[in-house]
Amino acid sequence: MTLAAGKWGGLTLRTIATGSATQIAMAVEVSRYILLLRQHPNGSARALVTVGEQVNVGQPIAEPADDLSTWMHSPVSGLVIAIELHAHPYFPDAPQPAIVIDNDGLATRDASCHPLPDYQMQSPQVARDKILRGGICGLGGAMFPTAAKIDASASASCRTLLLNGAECEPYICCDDALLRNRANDVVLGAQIILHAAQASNCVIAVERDKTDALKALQVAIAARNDERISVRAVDAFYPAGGECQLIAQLFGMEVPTQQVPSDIGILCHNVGTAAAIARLFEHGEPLISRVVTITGSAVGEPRNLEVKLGTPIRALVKSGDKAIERSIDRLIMGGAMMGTTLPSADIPIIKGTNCVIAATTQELPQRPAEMPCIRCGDCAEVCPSSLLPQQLYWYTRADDRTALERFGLADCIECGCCDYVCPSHLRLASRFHAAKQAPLARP
Amino acid sequence: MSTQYPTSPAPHVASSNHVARVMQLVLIALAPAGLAKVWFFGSGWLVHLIVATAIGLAIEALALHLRKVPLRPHMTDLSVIVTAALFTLPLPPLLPWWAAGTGMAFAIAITKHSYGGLGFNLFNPAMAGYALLLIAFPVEMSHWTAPDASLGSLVDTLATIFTGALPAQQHWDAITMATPFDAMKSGLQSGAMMEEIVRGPAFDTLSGKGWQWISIGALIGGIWLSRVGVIRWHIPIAMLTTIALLAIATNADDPGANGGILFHLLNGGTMLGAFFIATDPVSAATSTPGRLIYGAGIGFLTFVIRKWGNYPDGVAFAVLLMNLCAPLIDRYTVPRIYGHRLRQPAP
Repeated sequence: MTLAAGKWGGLTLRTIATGSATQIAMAVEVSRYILLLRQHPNGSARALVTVGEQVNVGQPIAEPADDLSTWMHSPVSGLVIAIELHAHPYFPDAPQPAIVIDNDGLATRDASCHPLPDYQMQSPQVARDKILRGGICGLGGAMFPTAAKIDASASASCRTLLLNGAECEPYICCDDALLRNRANDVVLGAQIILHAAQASNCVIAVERDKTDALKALQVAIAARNDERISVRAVDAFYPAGGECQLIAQLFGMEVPTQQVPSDIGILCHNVGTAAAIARLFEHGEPLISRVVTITGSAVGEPRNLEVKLGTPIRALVKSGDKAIERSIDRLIMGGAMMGTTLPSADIPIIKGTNCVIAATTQELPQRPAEMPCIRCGDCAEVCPSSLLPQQLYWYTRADDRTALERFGLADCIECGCCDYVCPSHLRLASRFHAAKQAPLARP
Repeated sequence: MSTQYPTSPAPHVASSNHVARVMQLVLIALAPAGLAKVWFFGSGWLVHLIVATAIGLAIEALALHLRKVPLRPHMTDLSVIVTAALFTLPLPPLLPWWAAGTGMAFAIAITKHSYGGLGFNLFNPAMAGYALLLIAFPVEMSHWTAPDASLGSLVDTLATIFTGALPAQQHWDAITMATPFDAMKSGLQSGAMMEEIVRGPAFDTLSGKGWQWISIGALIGGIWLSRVGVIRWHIPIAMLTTIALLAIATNADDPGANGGILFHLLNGGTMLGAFFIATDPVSAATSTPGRLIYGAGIGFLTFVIRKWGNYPDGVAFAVLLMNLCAPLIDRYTVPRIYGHRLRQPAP
């Protein structure tokens, strides 16, 4: 039986053995990269290159066209061979435009990639522009443009930067590997964000059981001798890494409904985002790759790979062992609790991809058919937002928008805890997701 | 050329819990109370359980068919057996089969399926069926065999339940005895003091003879049920605390006319009701404060019906009355949602 953890609900989930995944290996290069212009589900970038154009590593190939898209850069040097519709992880039935680049294998670096080591001499605005042009967005999975978030927090004069290293999804361990191996990058990234956002202190939160990551961070902070930055160990439960849950656990504060952490003076970023910013400032490297956990019993041992954006997932789940490859029954981008199932292995890695699970049916069986709700209340017990999912369930059935609002549908974070424990196997999370998307029936 | 993998909404993992397992655990937890009933009151309960289950499943199948609902998942969810067990436990051991069958048919056909089946019923089906029998067949429902009566063989029990006639040379007057509640009511009416009444044949060291062990069995099963996470403590504790406080208060006020704490806690349906009936999640209030109010309400009404009502025990009616209040309680006991109604210091 699953356990409710602490005041804010949640689950204690079996963590998947990390094994050799403590290191970060380089993913294989492929001959063709597919860069979806729509990275954030609600934001599309505008292509800056044309078919037949030669591009270099780190060369800007698309610019933001709305509030949720970011600059995109070529991960390799080579030729733009097409700008065409391609399968998208979030829109299985609607292919989206993508820039397809053939890798010439020369890795010619673009002249536009220059570091900014003396950022402290520059104004915060210069640092923010650098982050914007570097195509940095939330690597925890949300892909919100980082520069815009820092802008907003600077105007809200946030004092505290919270770097989220609490990775609570059972399969995902890319942030753990990042902290073990590149704690220096994370700490440098923290310093850069502190400067760009003009915040005064930084807390890096990591789950208590990730002792190696905690140790590595402490060493990295001591090396830089920066008193503004501290590490805090937090309880390991799902969803401890939820922004709101983490803030409650660390500061005893809640993010008011319909507001964001910066409204209570806290600027939240993922540790991977901070590391990407560090690489941008130190080496001039825009966001063209990220750490991805490749796991699931159909790929054998889990691995953490530095993967270039646009790499088709097929290249990552290929283990060379045909027997294992054929056994993939389900492909998931993201975690087992909140990830997206992929219909095809042709879908490329995007900026928010923290994990790919290639699962067998035995490992992640299809959920049994739904039974009626018996109102056992297990869902309410585990809800990290203190909602009553059993009541919300009735109101979604009745499409009672007034009651849904009263019972806090908008405060559902879609973590899936209720779904996980439901003895009737009700698809509560997707039901609530759909209800949130539906337009209000009455004004 | 491209392999297509199935897609489905998140989450992609789930606990192994399911409805039938919940029901199974309830049945296991009922075993101590059931065994105690068989030990003191004979094999009649088992006969009733089989009759009620058979009739219940038949009606379940018919209702599902009429409602055009797939039979298989619902027929195997064990919910009918749980209802049958809870409905038959408080029945007099030699109650005619047709009475037990009528109550069960009412529970499944009307209380459960006419409201929409599993999960949709407003009232607890077992208690609705039981209350129907109390109202409709008061004579049959008052034939309680004495805990130590020699009831003869299983064949005699079967014959009595199915023919309504006792074996030759047996008489209802000889084998029945007033239940502890009846003994108290009639004793008090005839001017006896409570102290004398509890020394009567219907009583044992702690409470009612036989009943005390059924109650302790239900208590043990109930504690186990809460330990395995099927029920939460709020409803039983609220109900038992309310009954205990009222028992202590009235007993202190007038010990001659009021049963004490053990009399109330270990008699009749108190323990069964607290752990197995009031905790039926479908018909109960659902939030933590709501459950406390709901449980306390059942305790209060049980006590009121016992003390001032005409029926010997009040659990069934108390549960049904509070079932009616559950939606109202739910409406006013919504827990504070994360980020709502905040009173926190500025950062």
